[in-house]
Amino acid sequence: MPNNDAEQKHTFAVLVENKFGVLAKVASLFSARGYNIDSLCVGVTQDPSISRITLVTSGDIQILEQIRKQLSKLIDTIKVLDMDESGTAERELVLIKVTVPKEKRGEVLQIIEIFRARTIDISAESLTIEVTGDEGKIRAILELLRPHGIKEIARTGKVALSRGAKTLKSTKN
Amino acid sequence: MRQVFSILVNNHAGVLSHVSGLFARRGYNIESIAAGPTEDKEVTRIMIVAFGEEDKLEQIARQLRKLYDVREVNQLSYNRSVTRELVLVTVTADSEKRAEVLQIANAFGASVVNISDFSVTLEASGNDHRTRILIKALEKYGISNMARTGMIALPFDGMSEDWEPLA
Repeated sequence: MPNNDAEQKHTFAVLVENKFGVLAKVASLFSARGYNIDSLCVGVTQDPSISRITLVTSGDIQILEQIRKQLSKLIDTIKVLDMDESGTAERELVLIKVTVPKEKRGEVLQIIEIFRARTIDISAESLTIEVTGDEGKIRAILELLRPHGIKEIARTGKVALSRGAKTLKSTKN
Repeated sequence: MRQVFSILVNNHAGVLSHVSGLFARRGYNIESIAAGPTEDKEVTRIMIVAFGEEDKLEQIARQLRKLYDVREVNQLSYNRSVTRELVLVTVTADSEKRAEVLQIANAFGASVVNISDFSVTLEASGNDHRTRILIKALEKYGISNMARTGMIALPFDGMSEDWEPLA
């Protein structure tokens, strides 16, 4: 039985009108109640008038329910979708800059190959790597690269799409 | 001018709303925004792509630096950084059209996340130019669902100060 009071991570996809200020409203909704956002990304959808905000937040079930209600109430919100892990494809893109002298480069390139990552920049003492995957894969590659000295990381935050036939159109009210 | 702001902030509730509010108050529509964790658990990196006149962007950067909880603001020029975005896209394609869609995916180095009887879900990453071309190519088949991460960037290392991009 899942514990209702336990803190859990949850991913919401929010379809909103593509106007300025909408993101600020969504963000202030979280800050006003002291809820933290673990990651957030925004991009337009196939309909240019609609943006999709994917955000990961954490809290117990009551808090998550509260967040869902508040998000639905915003005037620019078209739809709030729950992205539970089973029915969705989740991906994140990470750029990693690793400090690596020439002698060690081979080792790092091997890790890159195993994770099907890509080298996108190289200099005398560093490598910049692009990798995409779900949370587990990203964690694993970071773990392996850490001993080599990670200089800089940029992460997009998670995006998720439902795997089934559900589309934006069919869910739009 | 188009610019990427790489903003390191303390991972507190409210920072994002301050940052995005600053853009909103000035009537700037942020082209894309992505916020994700960094190596340091206390620090979050927010990447914002904005379009505007150079002095206006400069002004925004100054105001960002003044915000409480903002640790560092870096303005990355488009030409001197690696920029990437991830797109998940579901394309309508029955078994007849599937091969065509997969061919396009292959050409762009996109990977297949899911296939159903009447759709294909792809994962593609690239700079905005590349993703735009891919989406354009897929539009013909009908895009039923799409999620984009927004742009992230890291400065190039392997180039000298006076490097100029090819036109």
